[in-house]
Amino acid sequence: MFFNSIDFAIFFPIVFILYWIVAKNLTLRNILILASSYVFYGWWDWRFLFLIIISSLVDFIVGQKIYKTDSKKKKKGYLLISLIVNLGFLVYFKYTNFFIDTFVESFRLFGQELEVSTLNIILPVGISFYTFQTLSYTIDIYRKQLKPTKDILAFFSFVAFFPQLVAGPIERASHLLPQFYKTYKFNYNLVKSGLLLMAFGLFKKMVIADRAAIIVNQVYNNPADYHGYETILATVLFAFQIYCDFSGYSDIAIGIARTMGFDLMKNFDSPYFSKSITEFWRRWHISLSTWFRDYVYIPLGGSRNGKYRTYANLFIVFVVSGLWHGAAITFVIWGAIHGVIIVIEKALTKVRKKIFTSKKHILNYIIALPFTFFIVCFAWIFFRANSFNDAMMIINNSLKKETKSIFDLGLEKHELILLFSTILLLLLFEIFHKKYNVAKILSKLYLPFRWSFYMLIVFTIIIFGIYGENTIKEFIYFQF
Amino acid sequence: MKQLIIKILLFSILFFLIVKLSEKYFIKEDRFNFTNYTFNKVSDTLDFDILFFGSSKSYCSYNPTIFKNNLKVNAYNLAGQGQVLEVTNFVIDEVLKKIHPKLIVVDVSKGMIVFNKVDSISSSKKSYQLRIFDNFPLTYNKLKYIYKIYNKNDVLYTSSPLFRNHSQWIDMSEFNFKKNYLEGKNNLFLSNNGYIGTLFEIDKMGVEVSKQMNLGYNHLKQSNKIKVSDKEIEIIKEIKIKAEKKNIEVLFVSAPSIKGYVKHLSFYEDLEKISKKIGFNYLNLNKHFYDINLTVNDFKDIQHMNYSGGFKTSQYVSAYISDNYKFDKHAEINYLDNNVTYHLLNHLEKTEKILTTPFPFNEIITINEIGYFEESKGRYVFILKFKEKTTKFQLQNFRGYVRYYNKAIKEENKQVSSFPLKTLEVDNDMYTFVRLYIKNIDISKLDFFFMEKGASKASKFYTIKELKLLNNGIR
Repeated sequence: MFFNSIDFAIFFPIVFILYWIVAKNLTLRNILILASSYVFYGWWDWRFLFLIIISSLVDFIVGQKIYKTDSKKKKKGYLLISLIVNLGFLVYFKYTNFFIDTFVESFRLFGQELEVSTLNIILPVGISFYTFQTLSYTIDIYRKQLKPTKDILAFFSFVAFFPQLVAGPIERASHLLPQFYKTYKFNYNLVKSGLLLMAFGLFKKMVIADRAAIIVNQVYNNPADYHGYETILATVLFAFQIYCDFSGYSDIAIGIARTMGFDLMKNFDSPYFSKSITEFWRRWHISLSTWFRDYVYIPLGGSRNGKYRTYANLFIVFVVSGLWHGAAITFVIWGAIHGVIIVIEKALTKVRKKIFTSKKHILNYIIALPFTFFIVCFAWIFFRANSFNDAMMIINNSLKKETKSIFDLGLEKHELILLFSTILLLLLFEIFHKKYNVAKILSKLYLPFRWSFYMLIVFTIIIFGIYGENTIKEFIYFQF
Repeated sequence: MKQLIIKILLFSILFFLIVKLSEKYFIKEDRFNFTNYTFNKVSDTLDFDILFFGSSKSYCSYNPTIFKNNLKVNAYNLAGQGQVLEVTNFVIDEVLKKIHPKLIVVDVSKGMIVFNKVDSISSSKKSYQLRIFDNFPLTYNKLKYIYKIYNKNDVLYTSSPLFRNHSQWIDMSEFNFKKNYLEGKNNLFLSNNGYIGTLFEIDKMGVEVSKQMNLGYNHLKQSNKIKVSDKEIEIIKEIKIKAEKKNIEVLFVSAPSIKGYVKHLSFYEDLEKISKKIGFNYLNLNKHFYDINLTVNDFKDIQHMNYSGGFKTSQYVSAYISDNYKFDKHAEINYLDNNVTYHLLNHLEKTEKILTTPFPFNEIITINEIGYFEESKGRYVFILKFKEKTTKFQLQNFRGYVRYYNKAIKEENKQVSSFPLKTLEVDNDMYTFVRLYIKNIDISKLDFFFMEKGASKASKFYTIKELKLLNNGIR
């Protein structure tokens, strides 16, 4: 079920009402959350529910076993079971074909043609997200950072919690799981702020991301036909498309959870205002970057084993992060670009500190910020391109002069004006929101003004949103 | 919780109120969707004897003004572009809630009965069909039909024109519609009461197809084997029962078309057999192609008739209705008179005359009469009657021109319009017309003249000075 679908528009109010009816009874409430989460997931393909159930069951049992046993060997063994099951599913469903392709390609390099065909495997929606979430639970128990839960219902609800099940934020058990142990009182202000956040997320997704997608798809699906500013514009628009798409999803997820009294972690923090790639990753997909930091970078040794090992660890983390996003060489390159730049930034830390003496130094805004955005956009080319060859063609074509009219890219003049205006509005809003809490300002407004603002958001989405028959747009991160 | 429920309720009421108020700006109005829109406006004040339903074939074929003229009845054509009979079924439901006609004439044509979800051509007509739903308020019945004909996702999107047409927000002002409607190819359309007559003529490809007609009726009858499906029969039956329950007579008609005659003849033959078996009135006009005196030039394409074809067909069907149906009591005749058909049928007697004696423009063109009327606010139609025995072939190399000056005769006040000499033939008289949108009705000088294509010299000018146009249109 998509957040921007009719099905969800019916599903959510029903769940919301039922939720607050049973909210005082913890068991009933968690049963409702679990049932509605399974319905939410099963709406897409009920057959894949078994994966979530197996993952949940394995990690629930393994968590208990790790905690109860004193033997380090056994602890490791149990952890290994969890890793094999969870990563096994992930590898099978997501990477089998990638490995087969890579295997065949490798042989081709040496002149050997292998006749191996790829398998017809459907990628279960959100598998990368809930796998990482459940893994964090068992790893934290193994590290003695967390006690296992005895409440199977709470644990299953934690794994399948529908607002963040398919595209995050990837929650840690230490933060989210305890929230399933307690009941919540209805808080009008919290619900209101949750609904507002949902509306904001829908605005970003339906008005900006899906509109930008029209140009992006046009150019990236026909890379040979577009040159110069067309490909540059499409890439810049993709930067905003993916940001609005993914952060929009996160806003909706956080908003839904908030209406139910739950608190989910912040996933984005105005990433395009970053002045370095290191900062970008502190602001972009925060739940994933911190996951990689805690469960990959630190176990690899982090920065504890010298300069070069630190660089290597950083690079590995970003390549793995690229692979997490998608089973294709383009995603690996995307991760590698970020990895290389972060290593360079790390190596030049002292030099950078000398140039950019303070965070508000003017050079940050005229050099560092645009340069970071340029690097991010350059890397997005590999992320979005349908293949490595397409990505190279887009880079080559960006340097060519022959171009078409801007109106040949799929959007008419008024639609383009709307797209640019809304992007500008979003950026201004983010600057404003950093300094002033918009929600607080709104809550202090006189009711007619406040409601007018709410109506404005709702009707902006209804009128300017991209939706209609056969035009439901999936969230980009659903595929990961 | 109470606070939230109350606020959500109030917010929802306000929301739906705004949706309702904004809907009218999102009804995509063009000349093909004007039918239901104008009908909704006039049906509150007027009663109707005959209503026509169906697809574009219907609104190209049945001209209500001719029925009014011949039968002294109020008639309206409620056909819609791409409207399959399944959608017509809904339109009939809704219309019969408001008014009670004596007869409904439902056009039935091959491929236009059941919506085919799989067929891409049929699916391409969906957006036209959904526009028809926009004209009717949100009811359970509307949602039921949309769900039945299309699918569940369409139910929400089509529940309000705002949701369905939101992507065309740039066209939402009524002004844009009027501008397009008035300033488009308006000299090639003659519409009234839901009828849409065009002055286009069939292209070369259509003429090639129509050559097959020369092979003869019997040959074609044997070469095709298309049957009416059970589902199609069910919908026809449904409409029949619905009308009978309301004591309304129903006549199913198949408008003539070249494709209908050449390719789908067996379908109409089968329908005729079924009509006798089930017991509904059916008139297959494809069978009466030559009785109606139709030629290839009476079509705008192989499916649809042009104004001339519609004129002939309406005359034929009105005679058929006159012979087969009796109306005990007629609705009060008082509606939307000012249209070209009405004035042609009245030989320009009801127009304001600005020329009453023959005026020779050149050796070929002599105009016997010029009359005008106001079609709608500020939109004036000037009808020119040619001298007897003028043929359209003589006129095909000429264009007509109108030049007029508002207030002082100065270059900046000059307005010039040219018009093709598209001819309309009624009772052996030949007419043409020009439609002008005139803001200031005080005209200091108005000239008519003609020019041969490619020539630089104009014909003689027919000039009227100090003309104040009369407002006699529908305001």
